[in-house]
Order: sequence, then C-alpha cells, then structure tokens
Amino acid sequence: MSTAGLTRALSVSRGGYRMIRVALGCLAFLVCFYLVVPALVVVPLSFSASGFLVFPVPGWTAHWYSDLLGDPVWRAAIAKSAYVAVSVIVLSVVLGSGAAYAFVRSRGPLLQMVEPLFVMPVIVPVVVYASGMYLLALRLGWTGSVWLIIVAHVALSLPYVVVTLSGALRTTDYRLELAAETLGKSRLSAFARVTLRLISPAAVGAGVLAGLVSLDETVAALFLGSDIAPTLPVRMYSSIRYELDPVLPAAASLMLGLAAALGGVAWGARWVLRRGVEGRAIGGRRRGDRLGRRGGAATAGRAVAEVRVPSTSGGSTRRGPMTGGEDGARGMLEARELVKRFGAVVAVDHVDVEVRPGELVTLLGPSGSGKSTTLALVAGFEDPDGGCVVLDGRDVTSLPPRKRNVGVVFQNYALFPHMTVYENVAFGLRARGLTDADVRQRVMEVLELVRLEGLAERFPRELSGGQQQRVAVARAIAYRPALLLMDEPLSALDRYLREELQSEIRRLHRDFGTSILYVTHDQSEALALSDRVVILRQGRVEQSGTPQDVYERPRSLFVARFLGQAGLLFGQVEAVSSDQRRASLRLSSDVRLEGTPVGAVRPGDRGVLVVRPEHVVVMDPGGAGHPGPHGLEMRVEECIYQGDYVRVRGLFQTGGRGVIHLPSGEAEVAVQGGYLRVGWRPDRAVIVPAPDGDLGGFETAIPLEAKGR
Amino acid sequence: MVAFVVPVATVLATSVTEPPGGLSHYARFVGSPDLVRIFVRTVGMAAVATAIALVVGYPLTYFVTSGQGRPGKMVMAVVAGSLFVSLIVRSYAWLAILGRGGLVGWVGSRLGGDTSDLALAPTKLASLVGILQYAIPMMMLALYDVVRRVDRTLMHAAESLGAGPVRRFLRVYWPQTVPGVTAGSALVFVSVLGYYIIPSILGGPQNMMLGELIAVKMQTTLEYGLASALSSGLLVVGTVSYLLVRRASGGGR
Repeated sequence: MSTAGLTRALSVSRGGYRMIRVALGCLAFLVCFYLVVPALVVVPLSFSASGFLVFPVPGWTAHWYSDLLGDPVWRAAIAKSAYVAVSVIVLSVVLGSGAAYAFVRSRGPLLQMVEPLFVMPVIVPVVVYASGMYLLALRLGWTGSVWLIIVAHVALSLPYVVVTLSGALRTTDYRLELAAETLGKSRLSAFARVTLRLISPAAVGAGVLAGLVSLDETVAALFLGSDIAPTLPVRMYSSIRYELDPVLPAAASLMLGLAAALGGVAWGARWVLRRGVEGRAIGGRRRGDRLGRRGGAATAGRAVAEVRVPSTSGGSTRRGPMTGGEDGARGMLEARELVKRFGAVVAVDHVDVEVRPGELVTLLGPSGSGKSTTLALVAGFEDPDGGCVVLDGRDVTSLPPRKRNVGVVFQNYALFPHMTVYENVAFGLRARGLTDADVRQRVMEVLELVRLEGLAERFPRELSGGQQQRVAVARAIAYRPALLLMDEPLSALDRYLREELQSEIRRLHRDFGTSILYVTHDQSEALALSDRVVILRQGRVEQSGTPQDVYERPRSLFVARFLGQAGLLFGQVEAVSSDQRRASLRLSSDVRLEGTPVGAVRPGDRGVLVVRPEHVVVMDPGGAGHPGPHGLEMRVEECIYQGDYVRVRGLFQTGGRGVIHLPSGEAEVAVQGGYLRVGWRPDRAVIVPAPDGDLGGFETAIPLEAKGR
Repeated sequence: MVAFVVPVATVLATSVTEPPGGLSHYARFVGSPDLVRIFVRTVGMAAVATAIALVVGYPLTYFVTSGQGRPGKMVMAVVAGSLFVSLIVRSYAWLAILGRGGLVGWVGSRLGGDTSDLALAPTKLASLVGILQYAIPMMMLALYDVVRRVDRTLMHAAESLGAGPVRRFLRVYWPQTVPGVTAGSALVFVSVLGYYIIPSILGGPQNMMLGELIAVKMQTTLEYGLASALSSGLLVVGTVSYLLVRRASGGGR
C-alpha cells in the first residue's frame, strides 16, 4: 500500500474523526462568516436611502457617494490619504529592499539587527509609538506636518516589507548572481538583471502591503495629523464618534474598494511581470527557434564533421570545433600556493592545482576538504588570502569572475528560472556583446551538442534534473571559456542518471576539448572521468596523479581508504631496497610481507600494507596450517552479494582486515566463519606509512601483536 | 530602527522629566483608582481576547492544515484577507450590526422578540467582538506556519506504537505546536493591549481602554507626563509578557 493510501486508511476509517472534521468545518464556516460580515453589511448600507444605521433598509439610492465626493472635507481627506499612501509605498519599498538585501546577503553584525527590527513593532503598541512621535513633533515644532505621518507609516510598514522581500530574496539563490557574474555581467548588472527581476513580484506585493497599512492606519494619523486636514480614516473616526455623517457607509465602502483595488493592482502587476518575462521569452524564442533551426541545418554537417576530429595523443591537440584559437585561449590553469582562511579555519592551505590544456582534472575529497573553496578561488567568487591564479599565462587573481573567461557549472545548476533554456544559454553570449545572429547560431550549436535542441523554449522548471544539468553545461561552454569549472555537477541526480551523464561529460570533454576542473566527493566518478585526480584532505593536497596512479599506488592510508576497498595489514617496516622498489613489512615474528613502498617509508617505522580486493586471489580454500610467502589465512566474517561479484570481508590471522572480490560464480568457496588462504603478487601491494594515532577506528579489531613495535 | 527607538525613548524620557518630574506621574497613575481600573480592564480584555483567539484559532488552524485542500485554502485566504479590511470600516460595520436599530435588533424583532431598541453597542461585548476580528486571524497566522510543519507521520507512528487519541495529541501533536501557540499568544496579547480605535467605537467611554486614555491625556487634556507614564506602563507590560513567552518557548526559536 502506498504511503498516501496508508495515511488515508489510518485517518479516515474512523467515525469519530469524521465527526470532528465536520465540527471543525462548521467552526471554519462560522469564523469565516464572522470575519466577512462587516464587509457584507457596509456595502449594502451605503446604498440605503435612510442615511442612518437602521434596519430594515427603507429603500435604495446611490446619492451618498455623490454627497461624499461632493463634500470638500471628505474629498480633502481622500486626497491626503492617497498622497500619504503613495509616498509610503515608494519610500518603504526603496528602503525595505535595501534593508532586506543587506540582511539576507550579509552574515555579519547586520543580521543581529533583524530580530529587534521585527520585534519592536510587536511589543511597542502603536499608541505608544504615536505618542512618542507626537511628543517629538511638539518639541521640534513640526506638528501637523504630513511628513510625520509618512515617516510613522513607513516605520510601521517596513517590517512587513522587509519580511516579504527578504523571504523572496532568500528563495532566490545567490548562486544565480554568481552565475551571471561568470557569464560576463558586473556585480550590479547581475543584481539588476537576475535578482531584482526575480523579486519584482514580491516587491509589488510588499508595496501593496505598505499601502494597505498606510490606508488603514488611524492612530498615528490621529496623533500626528492636523485637525483641519485629516486623513480618510481619521475623518471617519471623528465622524463616527461625533456626528455619524450619513455618507459614512459610502466612505467605508470606498475604503474597502481602495483596499480591493490595491489588491487587484498587486495581482495584476504580478501577473504582468510574470507574463512580461515569459512573453518576451516566447516571442524571442519563436524567432530564435525558427532561425536557429535553419542555422542549425546549415551548420549541422560542419559540426558533425568537426566533432569527429580524431583525437591524437596528447591533451593539447584534443580540440573540437568550439575551442577555436580566435582569442588565443588554450585553457591552461596554474593555481599556486592558494590559501583561504575563514576566521580561524584554514579552508585551503597552500594548494597547487594545474590543469593543462584539454585536461580534465578532478578535485576529490570528503566534505570540508576545501575542494569547493578551491574552485571558488579559481572562479573568483572568493579572494584568496595567499597564492595566485594564472590562466593562460595571465594572472587573474584580482580579476572579477566575469573577466576571467571561465565557465561554471553549479551544483544546483543555478539556471535563471525566469528565462528559457535559450535565454539561459544566450546570457553569457549577449553579455559578451555578440550580435543576435551569432548568439542564435552559437546557442543552437551548443544545445545540439548537449542534445537539447528541441527544448530551447522550455523554462528550467519544465525540465528534468538531467536536462537541467545539460542546460547548465551548455550555458557554461557556449562562450568558449578557457576553463570549465564544475562543482559536483552530478550530485543532485540519481545513480542511473549520474552514470549516463558521466559518459556524456566524457564525450563532451572529448569533442569539445575544453580544460575542465571538476569537483566531486565521489571517488568512482573521479576515477572514471579524470585525466588526473587531486586528492584534498583538510585543505591540503594529499596526493595527485592519474586515476590509476592514485588508486594503485596511494601515498597514504587516507588515500588508500578514500579511493575504495582495500585489505590493510599493519606492521613494522623491516627493510627498504636501495632502489626504493621493494620493502618488507613484519606483521608478527614469523610473518613478513613484501610490497612497493610509496611515500616516506623508512625501516623501523610503522607501516601499512595496502592491497586492492581485485588483486587478491584465493590460493587454497578452506586451507589451514602455516601460510607460505604471500599466503595468508583469512577468517571470513561476511559475504556481501553485489550482483556481478561477491565482496568477502575477513580478518587475517596475523591481524588486519582483508577484502576480496570474488566473481559471483566462484564465490561458494567463501563461507561465513570459514577460512580462506589468500595471496597476491608482491608488486600489486603497496606499503605506506601508518599514521600515528588517528587510524579512523580502523585498527580496533586488530590484535595488539600485529601492530608491530 | 532609529525611527522606532527615538520616539519610544522620548516617551520614556518624558514620563520622568515632565514637571513636576521624577516618578510623580507614575505615582499619580498608581494612586488613581480610575486609572488603575482602566489599566486592569485593558490587561483583562487582552487576556480574554487571547484566550478566545487561541481556543477558536487552534482547532481551526488544525482544520486548515490537515489536508483539506481547497476548502482549507479558502478559509485561510478569508482569514488572511480579512486583516486587510480596514479596522475603522469593520468597527463601523459592527456598530451598524450591534447598535440600536441595527441588524441584530431587527432580525430579533422579526423573529418575534422585543429587540428593536436593543443596543448591543457600545458595550464591552461589542468591543470584544471587534477586537476578536483581529485577534483570531493574527493568532491563526502565527499558528499556521508552525502547525503546517508538524510531521503528520509522527501521529501515525504514535498510533502504531499504541497511543490513543488523547495521548497522541498531548504527547506528540501539542508539543510540536507550542512555539506557534506562544508566539501567537504574545502577538495577540501585546497588540490588544494597545488597541484604541476598536474599543473607542464599540466599547464606548465607560469601557475605555488604555490606548484611548493615553490619547485623551496626550491630546485633549495635554497631560504629557501622565500620558507618557501610562504609555511606559503599557510598554513594560508588553515587553515583559513578550519576554516571558519567549523564555517559556525556549529562547523564542
């Protein structure tokens, strides 16, 4: 049964609940009626012929409205209220968006001001606030000034405005701005083109809220306004208290109408703003699509022909059609000695990264290892505390992202939600001042490359995760950046899609030939994609090399464990051959193993022998007795069926843990609790220094005698 | 911020500096049975309004958030939308409904009662009716966000573990909504304390609340010191109750 079905079955199948629900429904109806009744009464009353609050209504007339609008006092009150409301709307939206932006985007001391700002209006009754303003005005001799009312209303409505706008800002991903910056916009322009556009519906809403607050506000206006020219609510209040003017119902209906009109304006404006964005997109898109298709047909042959450029050996010659040498970009990144501190934390600690032209280099590490920060330093989102970033021989360390000529694919893609696929991809090209025709041709070319040519007119939200990912890639490569930066671009996708897109990225990289710096925490992804892998740990480079190199010859226990399964045997290094190609490790008094020393392995130190499971072979199933050279007895702890193979974990009789991968068909030799004699070729095993202290809980099951020393 | 702090500081300062100065205005306030009565009435009114708003608003918010789909959304729209109906318009409308010759009296007399001269406004009850027009939506809006986020599967989990409806509500549901309850109560209580227009129109002079009293002292009788002292009293009660509630709900988060 589905979860929804279960929920329904659990909650509805009880008569008692249904009773409660009906009762609650009745209550809801009554409360709604209670809340709506005033509006229901006032409007008919304004057409009553009687002019007093008397029922039954003797007859119907509309002349109270003409009386209301004919009376100069009422007219002045309406005009004044409108003047105040409009001023309040403008002021509070301008001030409020500034404040909201500061609150949301800054993490500093400003943030601590947020709470008091919102709490103050709650715990300070308007009467108290108005009294204060009144006393101030008395002292300064400003009584009766309309500006006092405006200031008070702005202060009263600002919390609503700030809440509304900061809510909208918070849901607007700041990475969209970063994306716009890498695509070639200045910071201000990125804000205006992306963020401001996206929050404009909220700004309209906030303005309407401010207007409603101002129109309704009576107390402050009563204190601060002049007796001769009151605002509409104040005029109504004094009329109710002292004279009960027969035009009151008409005035009240007018106020209701004004509020409804403001609400309508908000609704309409939001609709227009949304439509405006989409409408333009549709128009442009149709044109673009048609021409694009024509252009696409014309260029398709060429593109296909050029895509198949045979990849001769060597990274630099692997060029597709897009990396034309027009601007001399070769895609050579040298980041030297990068340092980035956040407070006391050193997030990036003297990291060197080099990407040679056409290479795909992966920054691999667990979370918190500094890989994303390194990427941010290369992209220019963060300023380094030390070191430099050199791109194609040009020091770009102090340049903003848009001047670095890099493309960034963000973890969550950061696609502009208010633009179509076409416009997203065109964004960077337009920012670079290409002509419309060039933009169109280039966009369609790139979309074809990522196989999305049919979806140019869609909005990002109409695409699947995998498609969004491709759009993000297309947008980042459309303007032929010297270097493509990808920040965990596949982490939001499910495993199936991830593998598909991995090969897609490999294909793109091959055809396109761009240099790529790729960040991931997934070791299999790194091994599958990279020309070289840089493994980071706690802000430092732990090891770098080809995938095969780092997997088969890890320099440290950390790398060995991070890159996959491994059998680990702890012991004491006995001897290292003079050519550094062979070392022996003493596990116990009578067991010695040989392997290739990697890293700083010296005789007498503690060391770990690392052997990958696929290099371990079963020599004598169920065997007992003394182990021969490179034959060790292992007690099987568990067998995990993995489909194509069975992963067998066990404990060596000399201490230490072993992992073997057996083909599914041959796995019956391993029985839980049984013994296996296993071995490997000495050149398949490596010996790395054993770290002092921190073994990550790995050695807990190892008998003491096996730890050497 | 500045626009808020300065006037409030002015009020506090005036309450002690206005001649004859010192705490004399506070002494007058505390020494006058009339003033104290109004003060107590104001606090009582706020407490009653808060309690009713909670009793009505809590189940209603539950109703709105418990998978009612369209009807639930409509109820919430009416509740939130009603806050935009001008307070003065509403007070006036209730005067027309409850006052002498008003809708209630007329309906009563049509039903055969002798109610055509019935004047339910201005009375304390009418004042409460008017205040609740704001208190209930405010309470519901404060509750809404919290109640909406309550994980309903926890209720099923509790049920599968053998808890009956009462235990489920008290031990699982209610504790998750406490932050909303405290926030809503603080909001309603403090804002009702400062109400001026509604009680003034619907309650009449004999049911005057502190807000109107301050206005009268400030603008009509020009007793700035006393008015400031009253304002400060209001401020203190509001702040203290807010802080109490904040502490009760564990740091206000």
